[in-house]
Formats: sequence, structure tokens, C-alpha cells
Amino acid sequence: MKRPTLKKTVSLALACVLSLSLLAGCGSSGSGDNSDKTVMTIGISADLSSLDPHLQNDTASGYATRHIYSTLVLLDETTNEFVGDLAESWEAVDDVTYNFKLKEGVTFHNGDTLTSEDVKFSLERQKESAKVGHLVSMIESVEVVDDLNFVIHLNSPSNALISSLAHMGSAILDKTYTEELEASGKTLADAPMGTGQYTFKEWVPGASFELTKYDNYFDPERAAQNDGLIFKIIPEETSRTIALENGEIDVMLNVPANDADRIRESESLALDEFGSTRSEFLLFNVTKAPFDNVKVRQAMNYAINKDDVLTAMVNGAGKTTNEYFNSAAIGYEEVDGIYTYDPAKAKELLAEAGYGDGFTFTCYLAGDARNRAATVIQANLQEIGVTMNIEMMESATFYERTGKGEHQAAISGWIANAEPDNTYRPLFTSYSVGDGGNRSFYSNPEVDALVDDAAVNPDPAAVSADHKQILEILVNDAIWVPLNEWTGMVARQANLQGIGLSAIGMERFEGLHY
Amino acid sequence: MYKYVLKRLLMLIPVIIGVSFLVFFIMSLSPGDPARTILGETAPIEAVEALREELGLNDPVLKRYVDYMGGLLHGDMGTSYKSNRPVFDEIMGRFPATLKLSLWGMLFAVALSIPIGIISATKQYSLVDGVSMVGALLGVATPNFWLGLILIIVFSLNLKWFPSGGMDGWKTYIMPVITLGTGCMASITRTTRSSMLEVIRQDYIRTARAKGVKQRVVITRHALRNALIPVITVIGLQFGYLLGGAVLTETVFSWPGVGTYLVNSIKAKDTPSVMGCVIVFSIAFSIVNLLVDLLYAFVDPRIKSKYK
Repeated sequence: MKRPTLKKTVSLALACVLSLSLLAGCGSSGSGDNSDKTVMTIGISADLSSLDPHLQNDTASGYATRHIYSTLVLLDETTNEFVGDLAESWEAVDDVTYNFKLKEGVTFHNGDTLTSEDVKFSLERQKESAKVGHLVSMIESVEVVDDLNFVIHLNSPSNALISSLAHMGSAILDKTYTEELEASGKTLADAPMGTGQYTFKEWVPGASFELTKYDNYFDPERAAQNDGLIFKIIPEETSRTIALENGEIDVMLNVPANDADRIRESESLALDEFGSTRSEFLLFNVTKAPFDNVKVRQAMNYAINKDDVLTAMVNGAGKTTNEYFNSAAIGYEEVDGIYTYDPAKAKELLAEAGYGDGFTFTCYLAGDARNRAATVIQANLQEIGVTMNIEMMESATFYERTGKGEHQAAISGWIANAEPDNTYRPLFTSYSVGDGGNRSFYSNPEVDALVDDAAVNPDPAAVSADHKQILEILVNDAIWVPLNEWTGMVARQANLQGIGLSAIGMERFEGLHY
Repeated sequence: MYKYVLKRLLMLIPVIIGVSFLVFFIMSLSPGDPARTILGETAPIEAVEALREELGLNDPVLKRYVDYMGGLLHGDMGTSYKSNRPVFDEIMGRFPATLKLSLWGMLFAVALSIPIGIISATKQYSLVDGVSMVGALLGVATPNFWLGLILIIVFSLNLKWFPSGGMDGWKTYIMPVITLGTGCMASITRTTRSSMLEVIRQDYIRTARAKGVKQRVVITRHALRNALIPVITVIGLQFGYLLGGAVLTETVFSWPGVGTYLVNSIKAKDTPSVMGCVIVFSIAFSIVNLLVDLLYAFVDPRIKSKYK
């Protein structure tokens, strides 16, 4: 038998591998002509959980429900003001009574006309929901006056009513349709029906969901400019980018920072960048030494080079910040962040605090981006004689352990939504210490009182003043090192128009067209 | 024979109890609160508590397990925390996709690997043997996640032959099937080769050849049938690997199967869904193993006589 062929074989195999890699490296991109497309395909990373607005509270489900149903009010993201959607107008009679008037002639997809009874039914059904009921817990009752007029009675004053009514969990359902459907043993999740720009066509779990344009949508100015939407679920980041490059999808959400440059360089693609309400920060457990000492926390604020952290974290796609509230979010007030990168000053403060020789602590975190940030912070702190050990864990473990206060410090983040109280209350008050969101375990009666006042005070100027004062206190108390705010990114075919971007992850697609 | 099949099917019960017990307790010991995961960080503590109560998460673990198994006995796999839909419906909507992918992957692997293995064995140390053995080594060593991405870049992005993902027409099957089947193909090729080599060195093969039986007949009739037993064992085991490998392949190719669903359910701490997936996987794996054992009987009459 012949033997000396092994060398030949190995060379052949290597040649195959090499040519495969070369083939992978070269080649064209560009997706051909798509200008006659009328149904738009959007690539998203996760499947939706339910098409019943009262049984879901996740971003993916929101993509579908936002286009099938309507809410009473809507956030106009160009002005950050709430405007009427189904509601023609509303006014606060006193701080617990709101009069609403519906737009005339709004029809559901089955032809039924929208009335106040539908609103009452929907909000009462929502209150029973474990997933979105808390949003309307301030509502005592809905009183129907006539077909178009109704009154919302609150159980106590709240500034969060209007923003809560803009949440997809407060979508308005057709009372007759939903009751009959549920009586027949079916669920709204299987046959969703609302007053939105699109009717539901199909949901293939794990694969896609499809919507078709509703021709009798009540607001011609906001009617769909395409014939339908297909949301395609592509969990893997690279596959999602390739699908966009191939023209298999028209829009790509959740753009990975690594692929941003590639998309920017491509002639056939465009990358829309906008301020998102996501903030990242290094937080301290203020009940644990050495971070129970405000001087130590302030020293940390001087010691970290935030530009380097931003580069390491998201390749620079964002901006550094010294503040405790995202500058793109509703409820933001500009305050002087004081701290700049100044290691000498940091050392001075440490010496004053009695830690002139430095100290060692452990920082908890979850996720690769935060781990990259931690490596930079670790090096920065080394310069002032502080040793930071990094403990990386899976996110569920992270939230559980930091919720229990096992940490000395942690790198965490927050995405603000349309209601400022949903950020101020969980992050900074003593009511939500630990698992409630305040993982600094910071407790300050003054801040609590200001948050409480901001939540109910009917005077917007007073609310702004409250917010400003809270943020100033936080800067002085230095419970975090605020790190950065991320840029939101949506990629699309270059010649596609009409995308509705959103700082809070509520993108709209009815305007899409070539 | 029937008695044997029945006995094996009854063996499924302790398997399911064991697997479900382990997974249920691992899920409940692992940190993270499903209610918090579902509602997100911005939800107030009271809302999280209310949802925990509704999902029954405040009951002791053992009670929840017993309740779950009680439901399972009645064919009720519970309701997904995340979607509020019956887990059985969720899984059955996706399982055919995973099964199709796994079966095609297996078919691809078997159809290529057995002939290659036979040729390699009969032409030991030839160029063909060398190429196929190096190929098999690469096949075993290549992570299917990586292979999937390379295939997408080459055949979807650059050559534009196939779509990059989804399950829509035969074109979408090709890359996932190759990705999933390659690792399997490599193992089966190696097993076929070594098993054949062992058999063709035996005396009765020499006798057959001495009698003047044609090479083709010697190989297919005399040698292959005897060499197949270990190959079938490997195929059976590889099927379990395929179901597991489907988790990664499905993610890369956006394949709407149980694999992706399982991963998402684990992330969401959706215990009923995770349990459902694991139980379905265990049953599928056990049944495939049973089929493999039954197949032995057809290949080897000596084993058939033992079943009686």
C-alpha cells in the first residue's frame, strides 16, 4: 500500500480552508433594486411574547401592538410632548379628575366604532393585569358620560397618568369583540384587533410576524405609507447584519456596535444615530466601607477617564456624562457635574478620607461591554493606588446579588422611559432600595420628599425645580460615577425613508417607504 | 419483541422524572426572579410581588414541583410565564422545525459518511482515505456556530446563492443542514472506517474472497452488515448531539425551532417552558435510542433472538 500521501492530503485540506477563507473575505455587497417594494421587512432580535397588550411588557411585543392598537395619548418624540392619539382633548378638572373627549369616527379593524365604553372596558381590564396593571394603579374608576366623553377618577394625585396612558399596556380594545372572543374560548393574543394602522395577519412563533395596512385608519396624516410590515426574528447579531446587507430585510434594529462601521461605510446602507435614554454608571453601595465615605466616592469620580471607558465599552458610540439622569430623557434637568478627570485631586481626597495608601474592593458586573469598561476603570484606579477586583456574572445573578446588597460596587445601567418618576423613584429613593432598583442603597429623606412632590405637583415649573434639586444632591453625594449615555442605532437600506426613530425604544414603521 | 418495546417505553417514566427533577431544581436554585425579568427594572416592587404571587413563585419549590408533575400526568405542561400561552402549544408550534432540521442533518450526514467511510477503509492510506480522514478531523473540530457563520458569509453574503436565515423553502434548508450535519458526518465516517477495517481483516472475509466472491458483494453483503452495529450506535448517540447542536444552529440561521425557544426561555427564567423543552428533548432522544436498539435486531439476527 502507498503511504506517503499524507503530506499531499494535508496540503490539499489546508488549501481548501484557505480558499474558503479567501472567498469569505472578498466579494460584493449591495442588495440590488428594492425601490418597488411595498411590504417592509424589519429585522429584530427577539420574538414577541404576546399580542394581547395586557399580557406583555417587552420591546418586541411593543413593535406589533404599537401598530395594531392605539392609545389615548401618544408621545411626540420631536417635542417630547404628549399629544392626543384616540383622545381629541383632555383637561384636569382637579388633581384627581380628568375629563377626556375621544376623536369622532374612529373605527376598529372590524368596523365597530370606538366609544367611551371601550375605553372603560380596556382600562379596567388593564388594571387586572399582573404585567401592566401597575401602570394604571392610580386610576380609581372610569366614568362614561356619553359615546365620546368620559372622566378618569384617580385615587390620589399623580403626574404619571398621561405618560401611563401612552404606554402600549394602555392600548384601547374593542369591548364587544374582546368579550365575544373570550366567551368563545379564544384569546386576544390569537386574534388581536384594534384601531391602529395595521391589521394582524400572521405570527409564526420564533420566525416572524406580519401586519397588513388598515385602509380606514382614522388619521390620514399618520396612515401607513406601505402595504404591510414583516418583523423577522434574527437573534444572532452577525446574521442580522448580513440579512440587511443582502437586502433580505429593509430595517435592522439592535445594531451591534461592532458592525456600525461596516454599515456606515456601505453605500447601499444607512445608519441612523440618535441619543438613546440608556445610561451606564459605576455605582457604590453607600452602606459598605469604604464607600460609606462620601470623600472616597468623590475621589472615584475624579479618578476615572470616561473617554477611555466610552471607547472600550461601545467603540465611542455615545457620550460621556457627569450626570445622574439621561440628557435625552423626559425629566432631564441640566446640572453642573463638577467632576473632571483629575487623578491628583482624587489622591488628595483619598488621603483626606484616611485612605492615603489606597484600598481594595470588588466590583460586580454582567455583560461584555461592562467588563470592557471595568478593565479601563481598573487601570485608572491603579494609578491612585486603589485595587479593583472584577467579578463578572450572568445578569440574573448580578441583579439578585446586587439586589441583596452583597456588592461594594457594581457597573450597571438604566433605560429611562417616558415617565420621569419611573427613573427617579426606583433609582434614588429609599422606597426602592435593593431589588427595587436603588442598588446604591442610598437613602436620603430630602430626595424622597422631592421625588414624592415631583410625582404629584401640578405645576410643571415646580416639578422641574424638584428634579434639578435631586440631581444636584446626587452629584454632591456622589453615589455613582456616571459613565456614559449610549447612542441609539438603527440601520436601513439607504434609499428607504420615513422611519420613526425613538430614544426610548418605541420605533414606528408606518411611514416606511422607498 | 413487543414486550421489549413496552418495557423500554415504561423506562421513559423514570427518565422523565429524573430529568424533570434535576432541571426544575437547577432552575429554581439559579439566581434571578422571573417576575422581575418579565416586568423589567422599572416596575415597582409591588407589581413584581403581585406577579410572583400570580405565577405561584412564592410557594415552596417542592410544592411547585409536585404541582407541576401533577399537571404533567394529566398532559398539562403548564403555562409559559412570558407569553401566558400553554407550553405544549408553544413547543409543538416549534418542534416540527427542529425535528425537520435534525432529520435532514442526519440524512445528510449518513448519506455521505457511510460511503466515504467504506471507501476509506477499502482503500486505506490512499489519497481518498487521507482526504476524508483529514476532512473528518476538521469536521469534528469545527464548532458549528463558526461553520454556520462562514457559510452565511460565503454563500449568502458574497455569492448570494442562499438566504441568510429563516425557514422558507428548500433553499433555506441547505446551509443549516450542512452546518448541523457536518460534525455528525465526521464522527460517523471515522466510526464506519474503523469498524470496516476491523471486519475486513477477519477470516470469513478472506474465505469469501477465496471463494471468488466479487469485491462489491464482499463489502456490501459480508463486511458492511457486520460493521454496521457500532455505526448505528454512533448514529443514535449523534442524534442527541444533533438536537443539542440545533440550539446553536437555529440561533445562527434564525431557525424557528425549539432550540432558540429554549435559550430564550432560560434567559427569561421561564421555568415551565424550559421544563417542557427538556422533557420533549428527553423523550425524543429516548425514542431515537429505542429505534436504534430495534434496528440492531434487523441488522444482526443474533440480537433479535435475545429480544424474545
